[in-house]
Amino acid sequence: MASSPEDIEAKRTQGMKHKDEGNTHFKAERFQEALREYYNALLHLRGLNADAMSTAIPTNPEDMKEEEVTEPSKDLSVIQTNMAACHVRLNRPTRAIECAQEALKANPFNKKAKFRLVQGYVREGSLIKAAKLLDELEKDSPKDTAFAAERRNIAAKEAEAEKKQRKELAGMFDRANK
Amino acid sequence: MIKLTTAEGAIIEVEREVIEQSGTIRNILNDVRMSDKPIPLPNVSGPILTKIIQYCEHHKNDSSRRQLKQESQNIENDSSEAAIQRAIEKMDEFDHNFCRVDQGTLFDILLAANFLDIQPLLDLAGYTVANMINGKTVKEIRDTFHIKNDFSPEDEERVIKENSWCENE
Repeated sequence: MASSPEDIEAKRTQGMKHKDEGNTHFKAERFQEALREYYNALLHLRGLNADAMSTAIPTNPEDMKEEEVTEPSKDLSVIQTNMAACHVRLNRPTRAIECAQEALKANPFNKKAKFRLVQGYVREGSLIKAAKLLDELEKDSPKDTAFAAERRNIAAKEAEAEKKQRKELAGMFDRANK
Repeated sequence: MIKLTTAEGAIIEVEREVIEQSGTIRNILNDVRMSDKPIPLPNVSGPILTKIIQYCEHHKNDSSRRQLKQESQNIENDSSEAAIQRAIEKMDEFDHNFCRVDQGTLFDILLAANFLDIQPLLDLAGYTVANMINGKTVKEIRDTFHIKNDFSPEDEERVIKENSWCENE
């Protein structure tokens, strides 16, 4: 299935076009349409520069160095991060987490992908995972407003959970004594 | 019935439950209403897609194939040895015959399985390639896979020395 360089270029161009369309839809808050375009982008770009040996024996993402991440992988990572963002807005935390993790597999250094992962965790209720990852991100960018917003989300959810627990436990001892 | 477009532009129809073994396609179908438009697979040729559909047809009733990605990720955290053992145990005669193809086709299947996220097929193809490597000398591996030797003589010396500790004597 070896493609000529012109073939590959054409597919890459088509893929990036779909990505740009996806971005347009996303900005207009048309998240379903954005997702469709991002999928089209993925289908055109994935498997393009793949060679069989590195697919059969993949590099462990934890061992990758930042210079080793290829341009195509970076592009894929960006698209998958944007898809995660769509799922966050569409209230699908599980899918958001999956897409963010795929994005990080392609480029473990993608900070936006880590942020989408945080958002997924928060909305799924995995507050500890979210906070831990957010700590990492905030270390590098302590003044980021988006990070601060998610901090507030985490705090709000924790407060909510505490309130709920107190309500459930309230009067526990009274009930026992009745 | 789900429509797929191959790299050559041909449209192939396949049952939803068969092709959902592909994680990629399952996600697309669940996330997005693709309507009547076929799903484009510009990086998968017609012959390869046909082989893959054959594989999926044969395995469509395997209950273990319906695993959610989360579950299979948990299982992957086991030692890779155990995971490989499990994969090998699941291979049947169809699977072994399925891999009796020329190298080019085998590699294309491997790439497509990766692209379409069909883990059992990826395991199968990877296992087949691993067996082709097992027990061969460096030269034999290069010959089998038509890999060009791009080491300088000094580099090759050095790598052989660095790795000599794992040679069985």
